[in-house]
Amino acid sequence: MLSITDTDYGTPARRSEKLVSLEIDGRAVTVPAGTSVLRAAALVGIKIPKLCATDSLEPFGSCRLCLVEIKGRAGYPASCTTPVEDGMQVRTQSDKLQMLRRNVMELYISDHPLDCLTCPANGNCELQEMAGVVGLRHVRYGYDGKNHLSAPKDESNPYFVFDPSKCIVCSRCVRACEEIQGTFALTIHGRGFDSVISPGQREAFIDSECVSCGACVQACPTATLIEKSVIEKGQAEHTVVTTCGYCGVGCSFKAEMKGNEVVRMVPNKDGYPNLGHSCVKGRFAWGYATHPDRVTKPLIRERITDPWREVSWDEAIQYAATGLKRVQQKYGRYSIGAIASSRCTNEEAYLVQKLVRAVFGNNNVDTCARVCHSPTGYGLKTAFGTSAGTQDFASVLKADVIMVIGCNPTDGHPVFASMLKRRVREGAKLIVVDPRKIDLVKTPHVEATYHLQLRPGTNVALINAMAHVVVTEGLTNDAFIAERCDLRDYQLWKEFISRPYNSPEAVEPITGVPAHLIRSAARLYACGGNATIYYGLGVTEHSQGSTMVLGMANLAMATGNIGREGVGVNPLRGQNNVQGSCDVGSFPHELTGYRHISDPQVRAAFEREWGVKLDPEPGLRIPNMFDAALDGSFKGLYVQGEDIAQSDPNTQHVTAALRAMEFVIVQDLFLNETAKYAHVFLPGSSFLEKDGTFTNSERRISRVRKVMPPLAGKQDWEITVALANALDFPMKYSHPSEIMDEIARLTPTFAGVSYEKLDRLGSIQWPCNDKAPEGTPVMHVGQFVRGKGKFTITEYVPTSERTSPRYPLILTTGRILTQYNVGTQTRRTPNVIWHAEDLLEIHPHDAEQRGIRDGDWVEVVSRAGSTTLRAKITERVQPGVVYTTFHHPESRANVVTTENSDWATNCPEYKVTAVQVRLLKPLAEHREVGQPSLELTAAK
Amino acid sequence: MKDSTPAPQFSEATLEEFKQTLSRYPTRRAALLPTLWLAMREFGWISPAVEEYVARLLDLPTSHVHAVVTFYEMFHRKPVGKWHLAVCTNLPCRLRGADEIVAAIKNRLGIDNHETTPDGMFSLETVECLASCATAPMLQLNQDAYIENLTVESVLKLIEELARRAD
Ligand code: SF4
Ligand code: SF4
Ligand code: SF4
Ligand code: FES
Ligand code: FES
Repeated sequence: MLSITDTDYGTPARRSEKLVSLEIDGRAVTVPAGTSVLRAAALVGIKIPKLCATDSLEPFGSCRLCLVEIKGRAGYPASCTTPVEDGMQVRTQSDKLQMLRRNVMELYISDHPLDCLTCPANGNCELQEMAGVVGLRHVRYGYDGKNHLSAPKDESNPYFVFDPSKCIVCSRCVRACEEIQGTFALTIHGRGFDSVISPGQREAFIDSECVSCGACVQACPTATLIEKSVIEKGQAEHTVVTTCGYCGVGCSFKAEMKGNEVVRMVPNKDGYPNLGHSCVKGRFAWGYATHPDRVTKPLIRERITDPWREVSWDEAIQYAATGLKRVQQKYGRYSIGAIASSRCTNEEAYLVQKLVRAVFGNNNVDTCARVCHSPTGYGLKTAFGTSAGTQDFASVLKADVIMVIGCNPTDGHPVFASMLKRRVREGAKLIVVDPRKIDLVKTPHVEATYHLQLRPGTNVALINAMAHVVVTEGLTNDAFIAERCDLRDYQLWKEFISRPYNSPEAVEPITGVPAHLIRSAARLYACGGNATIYYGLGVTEHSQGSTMVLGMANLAMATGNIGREGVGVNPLRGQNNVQGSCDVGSFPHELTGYRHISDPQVRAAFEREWGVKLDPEPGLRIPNMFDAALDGSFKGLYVQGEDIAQSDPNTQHVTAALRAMEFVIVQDLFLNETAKYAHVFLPGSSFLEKDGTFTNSERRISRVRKVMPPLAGKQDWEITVALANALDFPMKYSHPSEIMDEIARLTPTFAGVSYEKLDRLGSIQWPCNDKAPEGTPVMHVGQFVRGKGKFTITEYVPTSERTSPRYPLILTTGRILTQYNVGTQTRRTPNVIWHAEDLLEIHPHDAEQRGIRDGDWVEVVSRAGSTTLRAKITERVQPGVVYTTFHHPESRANVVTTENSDWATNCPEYKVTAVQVRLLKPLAEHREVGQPSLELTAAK
Repeated sequence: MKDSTPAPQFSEATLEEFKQTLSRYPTRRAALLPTLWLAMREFGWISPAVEEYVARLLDLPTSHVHAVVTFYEMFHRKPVGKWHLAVCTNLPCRLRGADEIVAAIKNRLGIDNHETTPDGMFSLETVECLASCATAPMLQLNQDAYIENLTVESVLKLIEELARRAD
């Protein structure tokens, strides 16, 4: 059902220059051509009864409740499927219409249970409402005829119930699954009276193709498809608009509340970028916020071997401040630092870096974006002048050629994937560059024109070959290059890229991709109209991550695919606020807005605002902090909302470093892996418990609003404030809006941002300033931010991580839809039923060689370490490549990844590790599903 | 639904026919009905696995194929007998005694509507108008021959003959 505060206009809005005027019930109405009579009426507050229509779906015309009279037309046309015409005179109410509608309702109700009082939809049911509207008083047919009243419920999905006894077969769910989600899981089985909604081939929801996005549940006008949380808690009484705390799509939601309790989350119809759609995580998997594992009292201890002691906030903060001071006194100013979270709000991340720079007196602050998208920041800034993607998500709806590189949107960025699939169904061409056969390569109605199934670690060779084709076949956009780009750099690059060793034929042995496929894909990208690139961690988490980002930028500039709608180069960011935490100065070398700390002018502004002197030297990056800790020069760390002991590469190195520190403060929702090495644990708050903003992958700043009080008493920003105050640096904010005001004062790209404006506009895409007071959906229009676009020479250098007879396979990693990152949150929700454990995908050929069968326990050994996982035999991976996810700490996928990292940004090379896989016979016998391997053998 | 029996597969000849069918339609989706007929001919009935196979052949969602299969009664969703009797029970046929015909068949074969005799020889299905009202009542044999102007005697005789012809 729709949100309790949504207005339904019946059919989708139409855009048209042409306006049409008509009269409805004697009232003059003017609407864009193509609008339905139903919607036109709704826009002036005239409610025509309806059941099968809703404004998120194309009209269908099946229920015949929306009949109207139109002067000069015979019969009673359905207003949902009748477009407006100039001069039309419409009547929406008459005795005849009332009778017809009542007859329809009578038929519906003759096969519908009469248990409204105990029905979970009571109070928000369209069928009930319509029965009232048409004045249904009795049902002539009685209730004893053939009916569906005893049809069994399907409760297999952990989050919603399907109760077919209440179904009116309006097909809204079927259409939602097709039009909005693009999964085509639902259909109507049978015909006439026998018609029933059927997931797949009349399977249970959980066994069908359903990905649990909930679009059908939202579209259902009755209690047939309904959230279990609503059945349990009843209808909500108020809603709060907020932003999803999971991924970098940054969907807008209405939290439906009953007092301080969340009843359900409904994607916000009016909110960008998702416009009423969501995935299983955002809509359903918020239960972790109140999971019993949440720590609600601050904890301290002297040594990491001691048990934790619950203390008051005051005591914990004092203890934390004293500890930090002591370390600094003993080991010097540079001996402490902090890690800002990419899950917390912008305001919270900003305060962490302020604490480090203004209070710790150094620049030892970093963020976990390091482990994913720092090459993006570096690469895009170098080429275009801004450390962020160039487009808004909606831009994909204008693209003709979509190139997806090293990301798996249907799993990682599902709501964006739905938009992308819609565009491909409309005819856009798709190029997938990925070592695995990801879903997008081929699903019903969506098929990649080219799948360039390259060997992991050879991205740069491939993108160079594509550019080589563009340049040598004369497919460059010379006018664009001449006007928009630095020509000297271009000439150098052109000479480089034209060299024969960059040709598809020359790189074929490196990438494993047939040369003719690279050539065809390059031609399609260059000549197919608006071409756009979306990429993910499969690009950045490589030793040449930054080079690859530059390579994609080169290709986009050479073909003129930048600076308008439908084109561009866009990262798909993992965590909800990776973009934001980078924007607000979480890197050791950059203040807010990506301005270098060594710039005296920039520093001066901050020094004035904060009243302290700032150190001009960049501080330590996360990996350097660990190295310094092992050297004995880095002794204290404040970690905000991040589980570095699990999510960082080479776990053993990290834990050794943590052990070597004298004072570690961890601030998080749960006692995570890192907390094992901490002396202070400060219980943080989930996105439901705080005010602030997140910035998504398209630079969109959206409000996060507190819907319930923080479980542990403090929002994360309040904790950092308390810590600063205890360290004798007064921070006085009464609300995060004041922190945003400070960011806006200090940051040219944020100058126009304020909470007042965010409330007014809903969300803002930076840059937002005098030049763009309402923000900037598409960047680099007319001119690059850096002036002239910069081509950079991108020489392919093979990673030092090579396969060898001892380690003959390449391990690459990724994620799946229902789990999120290291799973701290999703594993504490019913989402676990979809992914009870991490599996090792292996090609049948490689499995056979090793005698591995599906489901066997295997040992994965790299030069860095080993772990055990269960094998899943599949042709999704190519021979020579194995793949796993890293959602469960027990599987310790990170134990095997190496310390290699991107040359420019230290982003770790998660995507390429040479490994051997061995069958583990003895373990298979006594180990249960999902049980961790406790032994850990370092191979080095 | 997903069983472990080997995935269905058209024979070379049928595959060739399928390709020709495809070429006659503007979209793959439009070729669904003729492809289902090929599948009926090849496999005798449309199992869930066949639905999946056809969906793969045509790049359609399985749900979509399922919807079409369940919409049209001519597609068998269970194995049928060697001799499939589709008796029309629409109004004209009924007025001319279709109900007695159906009753006689049920009685003779000991099966109900939509059932098959245990020896796999006969199955019965009542269907809507087959456009042969002038010769009502009537039945269609194996989706092919029309047997018209039925009487209880003639239908029983038909069954005897068919049973004998079981070679
Ligand atoms: S489940 Fe709901 S949306 Fe789907 S057909 Fe039934 S009533 Fe309509
Ligand atoms: S939850 Fe989403 S994927 Fe599943 S049936 Fe409903 S709309 Fe389709
Ligand atoms: S796509 Fe991302 S932001 Fe949107 S609902 Fe899913 S997890 Fe949340
Ligand atoms: S709302 Fe128009 S026919 Fe159902
Ligand atoms: S009614 Fe039986 S053939 Fe027409």
